Amino acid sequence: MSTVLLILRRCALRHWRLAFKQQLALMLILALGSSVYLSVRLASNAALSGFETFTDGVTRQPDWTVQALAGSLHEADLRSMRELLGPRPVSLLPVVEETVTPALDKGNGEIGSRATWRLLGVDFIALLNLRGEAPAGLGASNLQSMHAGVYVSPKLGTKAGEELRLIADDRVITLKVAGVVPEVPGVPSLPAHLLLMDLPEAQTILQRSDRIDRVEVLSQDSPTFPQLREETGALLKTRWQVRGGSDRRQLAGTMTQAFRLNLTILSLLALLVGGYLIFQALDGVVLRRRNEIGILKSLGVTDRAIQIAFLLEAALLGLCGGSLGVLLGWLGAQAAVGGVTKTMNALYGATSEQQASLSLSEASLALSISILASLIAAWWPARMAARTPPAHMLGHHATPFEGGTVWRVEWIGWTMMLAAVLLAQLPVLRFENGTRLPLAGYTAALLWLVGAGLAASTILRFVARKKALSAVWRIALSHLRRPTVRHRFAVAALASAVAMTTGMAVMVASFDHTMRGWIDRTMKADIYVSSAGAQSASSTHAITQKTVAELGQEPGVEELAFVQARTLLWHGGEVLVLGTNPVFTHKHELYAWVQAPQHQEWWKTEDDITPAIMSESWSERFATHVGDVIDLAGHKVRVVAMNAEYGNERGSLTLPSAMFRAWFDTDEAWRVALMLKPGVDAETVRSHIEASQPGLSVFTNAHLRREALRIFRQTFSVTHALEVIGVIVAVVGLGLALTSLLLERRSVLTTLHSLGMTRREISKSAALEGLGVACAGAFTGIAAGLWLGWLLVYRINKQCFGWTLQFHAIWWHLAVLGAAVIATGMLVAALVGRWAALLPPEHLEE
Amino acid sequence: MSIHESRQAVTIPMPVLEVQSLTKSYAERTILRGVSFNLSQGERVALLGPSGSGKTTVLNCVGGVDRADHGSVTIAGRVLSDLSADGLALLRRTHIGTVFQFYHLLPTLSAAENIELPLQLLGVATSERETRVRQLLQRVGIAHRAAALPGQLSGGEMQRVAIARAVVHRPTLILADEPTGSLDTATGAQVLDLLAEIVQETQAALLLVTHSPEAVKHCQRVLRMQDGQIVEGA
Repeated sequence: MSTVLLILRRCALRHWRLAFKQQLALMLILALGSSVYLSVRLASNAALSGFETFTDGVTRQPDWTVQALAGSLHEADLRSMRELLGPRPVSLLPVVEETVTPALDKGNGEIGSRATWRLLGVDFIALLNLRGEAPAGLGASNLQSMHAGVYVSPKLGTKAGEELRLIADDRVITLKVAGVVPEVPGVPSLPAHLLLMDLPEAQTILQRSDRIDRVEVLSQDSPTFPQLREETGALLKTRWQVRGGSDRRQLAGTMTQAFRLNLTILSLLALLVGGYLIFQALDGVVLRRRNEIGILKSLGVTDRAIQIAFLLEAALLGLCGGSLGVLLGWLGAQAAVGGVTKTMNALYGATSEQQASLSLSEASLALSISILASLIAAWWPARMAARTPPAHMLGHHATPFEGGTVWRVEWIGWTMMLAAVLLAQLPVLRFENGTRLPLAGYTAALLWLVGAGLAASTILRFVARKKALSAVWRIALSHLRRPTVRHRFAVAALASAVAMTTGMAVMVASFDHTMRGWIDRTMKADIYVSSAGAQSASSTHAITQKTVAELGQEPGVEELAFVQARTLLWHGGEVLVLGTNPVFTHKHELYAWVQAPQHQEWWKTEDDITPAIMSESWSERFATHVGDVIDLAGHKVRVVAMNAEYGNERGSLTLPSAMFRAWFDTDEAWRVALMLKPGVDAETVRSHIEASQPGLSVFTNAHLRREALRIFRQTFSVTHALEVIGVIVAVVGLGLALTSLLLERRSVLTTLHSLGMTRREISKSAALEGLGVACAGAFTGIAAGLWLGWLLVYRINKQCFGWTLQFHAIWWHLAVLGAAVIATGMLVAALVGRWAALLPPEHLEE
Repeated sequence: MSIHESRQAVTIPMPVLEVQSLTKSYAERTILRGVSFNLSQGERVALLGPSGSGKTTVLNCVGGVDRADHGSVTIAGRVLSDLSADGLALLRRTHIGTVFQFYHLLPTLSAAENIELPLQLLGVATSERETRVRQLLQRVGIAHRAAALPGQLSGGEMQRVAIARAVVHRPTLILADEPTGSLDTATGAQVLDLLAEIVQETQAALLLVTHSPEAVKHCQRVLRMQDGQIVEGA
């Protein structure tokens, strides 16, 4: 070990000092990779924490949360619960909760662009009874002196006495800030976006007299607590929908799993490309230090000591880069949390923006990953340094390293690709709550990418079969015909990066194409109306029948229909139940059928089983088929058809409106569609409604289409950015690989100089070599990417979200991608070649 | 200037190589201290001297891969210090052939392709290239190894290929740096015989850097170097 430390101190770290800028660049590469990973992780965690039950900030986590099987609870239910539980030491905390948004002075803004706050109505008296369990600043003395109005966190930045203008459902309401609840160290504090008020007042404001959204059940401390908890739950489950206190966060975690997985994979990709650059850079370092390594070996330093010293140097690099990455990652998370929250809001429902906080475990994880990436990247260069005989290191006999079997045998690559094709046929893994993991699909994608990278050398050799017209071409092609491991690695990286970009481009284009078709088929109304508080496709803010009637009276409106919505728990997962007017939807052909009903008038039934249409996501999530009869909220439902629904991935079930009203005992609307009389200008009607109904979001057909596509593109914006980074890094990697190749070929360059080749010709030869690598990488990448696109569209996407997409590739996009990769690859190679040509010839020592 | 013009402009005067008062230093260390000598057409000259005496530096300066600090090198009437980097490259490809101790064959080109390369650089027509390469392969006795890569050849075979590559474009000056330094005695002797014969056939001038007394026997004149100076034979 002392030898290793001696090498590290006397050699490696002195190189750091002598080539400080180079080392700094390596650290920055690692820092950027780990910071992207950490910032995405912290931001996604912060956004997820916004899904927590907001009562967690007011009381401790409840043992159980009780809701009605369908619709709302009534105050009578509270009494029934108390009677059912008898003298057990259990506290019941009735709650009404609604998402509210600040009312804007003008216009609706973009969907998902407004802040979303939770208005929580809690029974202050019941809260008082939770002896010692009231939160920070809500002690008994405070509660007793509480006034009418809303209580807020100091983080909200408002003062007592100020007024908040908010939108709740379809109305603009004004709430007076009764007090700011101070934060007390060591006890939970109110979340920043929670507005707390007394239950009766909240019921009045939200127009829910006698109605309760849920009851939180808190068992009091007793020696028999676990038994009491189980007993309470079992009793309540006989009449209501009951879930554990932590279920809601778990549910949010499950719901957003695919989105977060996507983000994590993309952020790991950033780290991977960083690792690739480190690999190329360390490879160059080994080449530059080969004389020194040769001398050390000839002095008796063992291969193992050399290898360990290189790995330790890499670990040190990872530690320095990772530490910088933690700092940058934390800063990046503060910037990213808004974007991630906004996207989660638009896709999954109201979550509030939180501050991304850095814990010791997260920082340690990021640091460990950075060190690990650095060690993995250094493994091969360190092995090469250790294994190459000293005579080779010392110059005259230097030969290109041919690499292991895996690089030489292209059929391994082809076999991996074949295995990927077979794996892609396997079904998805299913878990509780309808959660699915397309493990076989992901493995197939990974195998395909690695396999395509390995097999790309076949294309490289094919490209090199071109007949050489000149000496410059001959030299360039001769290197490609017998590619070294560095050639193969550069081609593999380029092919993989281009394949990933192509695959993602195909998926996004397919999604875009399918979405447009679906929007054309289903969005035929002239104007769409929803609550201005609905900042997500999954929000279920209500519009009262009074407002619906007023909309019907608007001049220019010929016909009107509305959709009702409620979320329910089914098989442990949250689902959306919709109610529509089937005659209206049938008349205007608003369904995009995946499996059409056998009878056109599907809503008519001869038995007492409710007919329903399920979305594809429902079918995929719960393995339900058309014709199945299922039990839902105490009702029997027959699935009569399946429609395409790209608005949510949780799955939805559409009932005829009459049955929906009977189930949920409500006539509130969720979305309203207006058909205008011929010749009426939609924009005029929209402006008029917006002016007269400030609590509503009103969109013309064209505007809503634009918004739908904007949200869709927003979802993929991170993906696009990382794709571009991936390709840039692969091209830079090509440059570094060529640098290493030319350094290794220093004696060949000397020979070429001696044979009379000009610097320009040497540079051109290197550029042509780079062109060959770039062509092989681009062609293989695009070809492999098309299949990857197929896998994403038809297998992984279908298994994750249940959506059928139409395969669509924008060929000119792919042609531009290929041309850009080839052109930049050639340019980078020309620059490297120019640098190599300017190197002084290797002197022939005596 | 095109390669064709370059060849025409350089009418071959006598002597082929003139080295005048060459000095060269690296950092604080002086390697060459006023080296002067000439080589005539067809002349074979051995450059001898202990390690560090400056032999290889002379060879590098003469071959145009390194520049002297002072003094001049004239090859076929062209003063090297007057030429640009490209001009030097054109001169090398036209007038100079080099044989290295460690062969320095391009590892990705076959024996025949290695020999063909200088002709391809000069833009010689394919048919003539093929004829000349075939003849030379036979002349150096490795016609049967034409398609082999350098890695598949023995040391002697590689040096034969290197000699063929050095003379294929009919240079006026051949520079050889320890051409037998990596070979066993018997093979080294064969290679030296071959080199001397081919040089005689082509009437090129040969500057041979060597330690070997055997190699000296193949030369008509010996230049001895010590401490950066020619102490005998200039």
